[in-house]
Amino acid sequence: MIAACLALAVWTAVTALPDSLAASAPAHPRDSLAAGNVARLPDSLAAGTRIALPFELIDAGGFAQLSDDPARPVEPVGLAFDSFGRLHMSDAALRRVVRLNAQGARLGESGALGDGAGTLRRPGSMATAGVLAVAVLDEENRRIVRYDLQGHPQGDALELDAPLEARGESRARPIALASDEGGALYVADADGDRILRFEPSGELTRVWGGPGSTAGGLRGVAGVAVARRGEVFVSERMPGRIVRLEPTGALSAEWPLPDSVASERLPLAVDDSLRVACADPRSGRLWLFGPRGELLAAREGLAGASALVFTRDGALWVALRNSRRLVRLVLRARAAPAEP
Amino acid sequence: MVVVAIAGAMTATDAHPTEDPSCGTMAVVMRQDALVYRLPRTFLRAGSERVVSRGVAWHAGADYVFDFLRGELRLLHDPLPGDTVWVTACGLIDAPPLDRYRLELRPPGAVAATSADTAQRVSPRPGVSSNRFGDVPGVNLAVSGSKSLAIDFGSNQDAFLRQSLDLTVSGSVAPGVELTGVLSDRNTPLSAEGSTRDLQALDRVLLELKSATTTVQLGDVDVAIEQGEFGRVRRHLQGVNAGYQHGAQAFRLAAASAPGEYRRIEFLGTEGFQGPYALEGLDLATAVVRGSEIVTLDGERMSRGESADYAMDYDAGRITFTNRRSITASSRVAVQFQRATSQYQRRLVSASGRIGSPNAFVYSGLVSESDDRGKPTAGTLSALDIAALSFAGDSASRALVPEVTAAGGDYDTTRVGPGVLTYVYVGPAAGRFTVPFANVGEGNGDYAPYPVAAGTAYRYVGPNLGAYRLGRALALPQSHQLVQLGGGVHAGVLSAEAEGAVSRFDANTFSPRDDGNNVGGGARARIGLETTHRGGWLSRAGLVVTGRGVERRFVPFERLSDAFEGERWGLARAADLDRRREGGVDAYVGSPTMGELSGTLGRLTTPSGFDADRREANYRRDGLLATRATYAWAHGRDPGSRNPDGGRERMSLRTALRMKWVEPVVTLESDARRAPTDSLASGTRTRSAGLELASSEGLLWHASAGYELRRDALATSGGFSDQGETRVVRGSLRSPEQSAWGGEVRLEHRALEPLAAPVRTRSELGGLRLRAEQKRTGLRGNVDLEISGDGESRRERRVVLVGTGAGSYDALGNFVGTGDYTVVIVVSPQFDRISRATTSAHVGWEFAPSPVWRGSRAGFDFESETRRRGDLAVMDPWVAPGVVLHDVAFARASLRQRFETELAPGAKAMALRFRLERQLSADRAFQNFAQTLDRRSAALRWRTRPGRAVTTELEGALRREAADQVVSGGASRGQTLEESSLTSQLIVTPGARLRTVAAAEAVWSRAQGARERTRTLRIGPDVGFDISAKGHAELSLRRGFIGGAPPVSLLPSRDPAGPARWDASGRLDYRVRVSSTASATVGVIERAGQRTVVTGRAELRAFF
Repeated sequence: MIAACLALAVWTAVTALPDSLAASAPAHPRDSLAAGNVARLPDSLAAGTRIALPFELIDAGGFAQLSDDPARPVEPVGLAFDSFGRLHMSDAALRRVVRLNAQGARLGESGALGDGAGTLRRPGSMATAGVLAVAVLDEENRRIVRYDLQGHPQGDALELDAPLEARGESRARPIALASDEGGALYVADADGDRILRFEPSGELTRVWGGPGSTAGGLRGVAGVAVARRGEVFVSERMPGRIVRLEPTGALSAEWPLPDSVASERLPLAVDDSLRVACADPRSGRLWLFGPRGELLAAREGLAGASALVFTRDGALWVALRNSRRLVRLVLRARAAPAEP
Repeated sequence: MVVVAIAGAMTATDAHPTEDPSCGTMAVVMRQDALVYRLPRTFLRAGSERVVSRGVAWHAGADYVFDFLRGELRLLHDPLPGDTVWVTACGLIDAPPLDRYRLELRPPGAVAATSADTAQRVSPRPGVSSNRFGDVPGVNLAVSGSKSLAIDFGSNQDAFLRQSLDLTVSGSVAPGVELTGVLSDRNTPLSAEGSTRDLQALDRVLLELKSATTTVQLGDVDVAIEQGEFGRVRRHLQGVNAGYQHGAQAFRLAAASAPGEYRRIEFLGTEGFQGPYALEGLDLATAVVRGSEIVTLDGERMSRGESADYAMDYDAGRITFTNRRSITASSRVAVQFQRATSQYQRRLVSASGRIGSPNAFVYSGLVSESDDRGKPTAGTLSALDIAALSFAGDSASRALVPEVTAAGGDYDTTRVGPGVLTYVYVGPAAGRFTVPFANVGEGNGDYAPYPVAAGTAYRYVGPNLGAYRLGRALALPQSHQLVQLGGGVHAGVLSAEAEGAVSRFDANTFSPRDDGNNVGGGARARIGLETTHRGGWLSRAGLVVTGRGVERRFVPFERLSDAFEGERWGLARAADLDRRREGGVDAYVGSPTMGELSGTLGRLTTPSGFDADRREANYRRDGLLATRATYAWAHGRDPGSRNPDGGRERMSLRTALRMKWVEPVVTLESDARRAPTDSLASGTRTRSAGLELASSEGLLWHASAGYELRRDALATSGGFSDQGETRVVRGSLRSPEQSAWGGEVRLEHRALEPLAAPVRTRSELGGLRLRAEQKRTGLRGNVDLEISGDGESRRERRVVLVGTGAGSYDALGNFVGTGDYTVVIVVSPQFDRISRATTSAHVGWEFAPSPVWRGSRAGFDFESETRRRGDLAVMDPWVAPGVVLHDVAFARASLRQRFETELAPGAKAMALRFRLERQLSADRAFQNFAQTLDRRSAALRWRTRPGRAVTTELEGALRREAADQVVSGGASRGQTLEESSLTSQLIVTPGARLRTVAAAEAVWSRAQGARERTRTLRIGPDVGFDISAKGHAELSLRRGFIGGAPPVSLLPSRDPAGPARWDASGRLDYRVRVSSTASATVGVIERAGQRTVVTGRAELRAFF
């Protein structure tokens, strides 16, 4: 088996390496779309021509007063809104999770640099963990830390390596976190190109993906989001694709991103109507897709976008790592008024 | 002409389009909080609709969803309030009603109602929304959540049922009324009927209803009355809290269960010791109610958080301050909290209200907190218990039930005098009696405790010479009520305010005895003559006279005195100043140019005999030369003490020169306190001088540097005697956050040199945060460092031999399932001072010399944490691997070094990842046990994509792992494993519905020094495929082969080393409906010589 793999790999290297090195960019995922999957990327857009999109994303402010507040984010990388509209934000530079009320006033914070209980080493994305807790991905400590709505650590941290080792799987390099309505947590593993699902009890119950560029395989996992009924959306880099999986794990749809992206992380968010927002932090572009990939709106100038989250009122919040801001975007029809 | 005209008219008529009467245009005006709109027509034709707003046609599925039968339009994005949506649609001209009823003649006297099967109903509308009340104006309620049911089973376990429920209800229930509710229920056992028993069985319910004037909360609520001074109460409870506020009128009502008892403690810090500080008075088994604490440090309210001011261990009742708040010997800490314990179920009801006008206000409050004496939290009260409580009065020492049993025990009787029969300890189970003893306070009992091998025993010491009595102590059910009434008026420069309160506190509701002192009262008044002027030399001036009287019997819900108020009056810190008579005069005068001068005179007497006088003068001036100066003097007397005089004299000066670039600040302070005492002189004196230079606030860069010298002295009969001198050097530098590079550094070094006391400490607190990024080259780096100090309990790990196979541990304390030993952890109340340094550094480079290299990266990570007993060493933040392994001063240490690179991740032929990593850890937290781990690994992964449907992956790895365990004066163990492995995967995905994987893993390992290797091979397939349009299945199978030497593990463990012979798993998922999924998993593991283990789960999960 190993010899077969080795032989196949060597053969591939010998035959494809010259082409691979000589070729310009890798093939665009549009070329590999399976028949039946709806991916309505206009050719004109892919070619760089501007087209009129039905909607636009308007900057509706955010928390302007944070610039003078002790809760001022230095490197915001994770956002989660709890059921009561409070915002929980992880700050990678300060190694903490800050709680803000619906008006942006600071309620408290948790975390500090360290390995022990209540500390974080490299906090990343955040997600709600059921209706009474939020979770933050502690990337360097390779665990998930959960807090109640008052910021108190909840139970033991959820270690990522131990359950993988118990299943004989390779260890993960976690880069994104999402959750479903039941509090199950989904971790995007960039190393194994997998999505790991952990139950609220901490048990690893599901592994989606694995290497592969079509069907159930994933390639270059860069983000994850979960819709309210359990549909899993995965963003991939190199060259850029969004994959929609059914709660069963079956491939439901896939569509390419308008631009080929190399960013290591492509934050994702999905709302109750299955609209998917994806941002490329390197180019500063943000796209909003319909449930099956139709491009609804796009926006530029969001360099360093590190986290996306939809709120109950339909607004899209974006954490900007470079400019240390939280931006609130709302969807508006693009055309001028003219009643029939 | 006529013919031509008629023909022309006919032609014109024919040319005009004829309107279809079945089609029409309807206007819908969007509202703020509504997503679903009912149209005036029903039974519309599918696909005939056209929805337009602002001239733009909307897209079905993206912008809206239509219910053609009921004529409902649901928006899929935010409504624009006030905007009109034009809906053109065709349908039945005369649509029938949506509901039909068949009427039946029901003769008078007929009993039977219409049977359900005879009533034809229109089926519920399609579930396009969770909005159930879309046709009611202003109502937009959404329900979301999840429910799961699962059965776990296996060959080694019984089948058991698990369930969970998470529910969120949110939206508006009426125009302007917002409702948010959550409910969480995890793993609650189901009853025979399949439902949880009642609402109390649910984990948590939180509900919040808000409108412009009203707020209602259910669940975890904060109950607070903060008006006036006598009726103040703050609690974190579970119950209902409702409030109404409109203009100057406010009313609030709360009813809740009260978990625990209110406490406030005050203590002084220890020089250079950040904590943990135990909250005195807490039993080990007593926790603090989460979020109930209010912490002040030197009068300033602190924020909880490891990166804020303090961290709280609620279970142990300990508080630790972060390195942002340095703790000194003169730090005054006050913690108000609730203990999470109560002997009876306790209820709290509160009501408060306030009515105001521009010139007057009136407020009132009522609080009642009482134990339900019929519901003790542990067990029930017997008739004997109730009788004992009835005769106990308000004294807990009399609430004892003598329960000596003569069925064998640890005690026998002996006669110590004529008619005096006492009990004497004779050893475990060696006596005839089992005797309980209760603590009734020193001098109230006849027995005293002493240690024995089995714990604590008691011996007779004479009448009222001990602290213990025979008997079982009973808790007294309490009842506490308080009513307050206050108000104030304001007329020109004159203002007046008054407040009165009456309390009733019954310490034992079972007993009518001692009830004569249950009621007490308090009152206070304030009259002020105050004026302000915007211009002129006088900006504000005032004279305020205050008076307060509180009876000895008055019992407030919170302390009426401020933290450390006894010291302010020259009395002992623990003096009860809640009940007192106090009068004072405050005067102030302020000028925009000259600053503000204020003064205070006060006098105080207490029912317990204290009296004190106080004078204070303050001067404050802002501007280029900002000054704060204070002089405070107090003299207190306690006639009952041998040294009755106490006092305080405090002088402080703080002057800052606010220049354009730099602001120098000079501080001088002298604070001497004496307290009345029965023994030697009691008091402290602190003198300090400091200089600080800080950059101006307007600068982008912020820098500061300071030096402080402080001398602490203790009072003696001959005056104050210096005990120590503390030097503090601190500095900080912070760059603008917007730049591509920068950060923050802050450091405080504190050294206490002994002058008289033999205490010498040094502590460092600080942090470093540096970052740099160059987008052009893709380079990025950051360094973070935190230095702090705290304490750690001394612990010992005792490994006790219990017999062959009778324990679960081996001789070193490793859990092995079945062993000869058991482990006992002994925690000492003593703390070791710990200096902690935590470092996190990362350097990364993202590069792409050509398109095929896009996404390539390389990075190095350094992560460490050291906890050194004693003072910090210079190199602790950059600790070397050898130091982690061998420095025994580390209570704990860990280090991780990792180099990782990923090359051309998008390439077809050569996507490589290389990782070199070393992880070390040392755990010497136990006094008698140490364990070190050293893991090194190197791994190279090679991925190719020979075709669109084929991916291969090859990974080779080398690992070396070493573990050492040492028990002081006992056994030790060292193990080193060397391992090399090669894993491969061939992934083939011939279609969108099938994914196959062939995997193989070969491992060669051996213990260091062993001649023969262990050879392990695991091979097998993975298959994933869709079943119809709704199902998906995954199967995995592995066959393990072991050759050579038997496998060994790094540390002894219950789990066997090496892979299983057969390891198979299967999973089937089926999406029953859009919102529900059923799944089943089965796993089988078979090892040579062991029983086959089968595990599985069947689960149904629904989202709504």
